[in-house]
Amino acid sequence: MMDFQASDDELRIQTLARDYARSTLAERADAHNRGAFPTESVRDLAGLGLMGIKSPVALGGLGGTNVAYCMAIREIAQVCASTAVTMAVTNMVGDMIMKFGDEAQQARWLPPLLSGAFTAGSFALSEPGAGSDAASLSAKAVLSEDGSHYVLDGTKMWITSGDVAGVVLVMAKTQPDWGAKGISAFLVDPKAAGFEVGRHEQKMGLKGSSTVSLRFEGLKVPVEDRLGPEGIGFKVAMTALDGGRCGIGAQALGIAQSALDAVLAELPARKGADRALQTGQATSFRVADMATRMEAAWLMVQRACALHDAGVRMSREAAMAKVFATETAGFVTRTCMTLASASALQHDSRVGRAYRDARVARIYEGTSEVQRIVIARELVRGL
Amino acid sequence: MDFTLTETQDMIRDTVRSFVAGQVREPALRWNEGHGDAAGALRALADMGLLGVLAPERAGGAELDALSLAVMITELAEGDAGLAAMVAHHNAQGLGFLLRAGFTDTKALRPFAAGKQLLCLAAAEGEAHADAPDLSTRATQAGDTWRLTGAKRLVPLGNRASHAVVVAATESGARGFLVDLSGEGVTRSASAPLVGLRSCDLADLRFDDAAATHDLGPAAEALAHTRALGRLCAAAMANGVARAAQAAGVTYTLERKQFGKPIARFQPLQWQTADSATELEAAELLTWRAAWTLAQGTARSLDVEKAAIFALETVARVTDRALQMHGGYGYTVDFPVERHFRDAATLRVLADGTDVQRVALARGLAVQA
Ligand SMILES: Cc1cc2nc3c(=O)[nH]c(=O)nc-3n(C[C@H](O)[C@H](O)[C@H](O)COP(=O)(O)OP(=O)(O)OC[C@H]3O[C@@H](n4cnc5c(N)ncnc54)[C@H](O)[C@@H]3O)c2cc1C
Repeated sequence: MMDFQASDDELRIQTLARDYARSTLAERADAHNRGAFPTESVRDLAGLGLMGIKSPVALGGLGGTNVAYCMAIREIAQVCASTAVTMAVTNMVGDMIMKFGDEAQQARWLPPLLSGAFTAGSFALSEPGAGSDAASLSAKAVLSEDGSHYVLDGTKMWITSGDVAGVVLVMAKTQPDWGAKGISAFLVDPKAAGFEVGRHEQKMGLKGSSTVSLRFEGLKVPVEDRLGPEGIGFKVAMTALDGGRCGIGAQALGIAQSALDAVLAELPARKGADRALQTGQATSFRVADMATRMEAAWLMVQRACALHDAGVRMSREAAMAKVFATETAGFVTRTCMTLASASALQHDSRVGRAYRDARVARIYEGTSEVQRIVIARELVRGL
Repeated sequence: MDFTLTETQDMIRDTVRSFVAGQVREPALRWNEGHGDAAGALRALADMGLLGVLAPERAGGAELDALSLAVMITELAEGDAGLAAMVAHHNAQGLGFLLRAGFTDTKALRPFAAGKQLLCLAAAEGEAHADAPDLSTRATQAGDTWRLTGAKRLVPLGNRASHAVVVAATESGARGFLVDLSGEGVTRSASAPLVGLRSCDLADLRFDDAAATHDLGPAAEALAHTRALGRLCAAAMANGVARAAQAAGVTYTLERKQFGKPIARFQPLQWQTADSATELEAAELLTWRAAWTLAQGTARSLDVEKAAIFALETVARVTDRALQMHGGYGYTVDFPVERHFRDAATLRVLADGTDVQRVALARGLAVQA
């Protein structure tokens, strides 16, 4: 039976995130977005259980649904997108350890990840030459002769929180000639010898989130730190991204909401010729369009989450939700840049920040083009 | 009908193009990240005679038309929108106002026309455009001198200019005044940085009983003229930024390989390139036509509004697509497309936003009908 009502549990998690976002996080958001990594805020989130929304309560999570997860991400992103992305990647890593890890791995990695003992978790798939074509990655993990460990070599790029993470989920080839099927997943301890943090990317937005390259040189990974059997690394990555894409959709809508709210808030204060325009239909119709598209996008995100919660495969729905929500966020933030007052065009204003933050959502966790490939593949036979 | 440029216009375009290639494109990245500024480039452009484009030859200007100005501004914006914005402002707003207001003091004009001194126009006040009734900067006459009190925000060249044309309310309506910005009663401070146009000098100006050096008379006519020129220049800048982004996108898609081939081979990117090229061409034609109409000196047409509306929206789409083609790399300051995307959304501070222009256009069409 159809049901558009969130459960009490989901609403409770949403409220938890909202209350934190609108109090403590709101006070710090400006500083976070001038380039300071939100260390304290992510620790606070862990304290609230928000670093493992879907993870079991016994391990420090909230035991929530995907729907709840996206509601929480949206609340945080509405106040600070940089904190939201740090939180999203950490949740994603925890989810993969829950899904593919054995009990020992769960017991070892999840408590510190979820409690905030680790500042964050990282997900390392992309490489300088392997972005959309992730399966062509070239980092390799070679099993030692005695079978006790792998030796990891390679370079990863664009790794969110790669310099502050307590665990990095690394995808590397165990069978270099096998393409996607030759990829395995590893839980890498950044304290291991041979783990090097490279340059920090200077980005347009998400200034408070750190994005770094990583270099592995003869890094020894014990066999027990391989996540799942050999060869399922690409599957792990794609599974992570199915859930992650809903999260990015939710993040994008949170950002869009913040821009729209900022524009709506300043309308009554505007004056002169400008005021006529602001109160006229030119503006009100745009506001109506923005709100309508955001609503539709949010329903798509929640539908994909609900399918996920029901254990149904939802790659197409997740891809649709991501492309629709992130393109909506592009439309909304761009429109807000044209509607806002000149002072709202400041680099660090709410609208200015939203415009810069929203742009990356159409790129990471699969570009819009990649989402369309996923959608079309399922609709058009023979592609 | 003839769509070719004159020899002079061709020459200006080529000169500015090679100047941009040699002295703007590279350093622009630093200027926009707050390391160094475009002062040297402005001086070089002054030496090239490009800071008095519209000024009469007797005052040392180049006495060229609006189309020449538009061509030059597009070329500059291809290298750096912030630099183009400053050059456009001095030529079309500051000097543009003086000339239209019938300022004939050749001796006073000379340093501006030669670009030895920069001139800004402080007309708009935050949101309200200068022709709005609530212009809060006021001028009062005390003996022979006019004294000004009020504030102006986001004035291009406001920190660097030696003088400003200030539009202020008087008992008999808005008037323009020439004000020495180093004089008493003037304070200037850099405006908070915007999303884009980071290399453009923008200042907030305050006048506390500051004396004007010249009364330029009623402002309405000259303002209408500078507004048209400002919209034209905004369109020209938009086209330059769009062209730079499009070129960057094409170059990048030919170089970047994924799935074993250059990403330029993927149809979605081909479509984006094709749509951008077509829209850009249309924007340029509208802009040139608007410049041509202005140069004809015919009664005010609505061509500049059409050009600016279309060009400002085109640049938003073109830079957005070009950034998308760059994938994650486009989100970093290492690739100029990151800046083009921010500049595109900020250009409207230099002219009115497209919504204001739509209203102006619709009103104008209603009058014509
Ligand atoms: C801020 C930020 C944080 C990130 N965090 C992480 C992280 O934590 N972990 C991680 O692993 N990665 C991360 N990434 C990397 C991100 O996932 C990649 O940037 C993304 O997958 C795109 O890859 P690319 O940048 O190499 O672009 P490319 O793949 O080179 O794409 C360039 C263009 O070509 C298009 N294209 C490519 N292939 C096709 C095709 N077959 N058909 C049509 N069009 C195509 C793309 O859509 C795009 O428009 C992050 C990126 C950013 C910017």
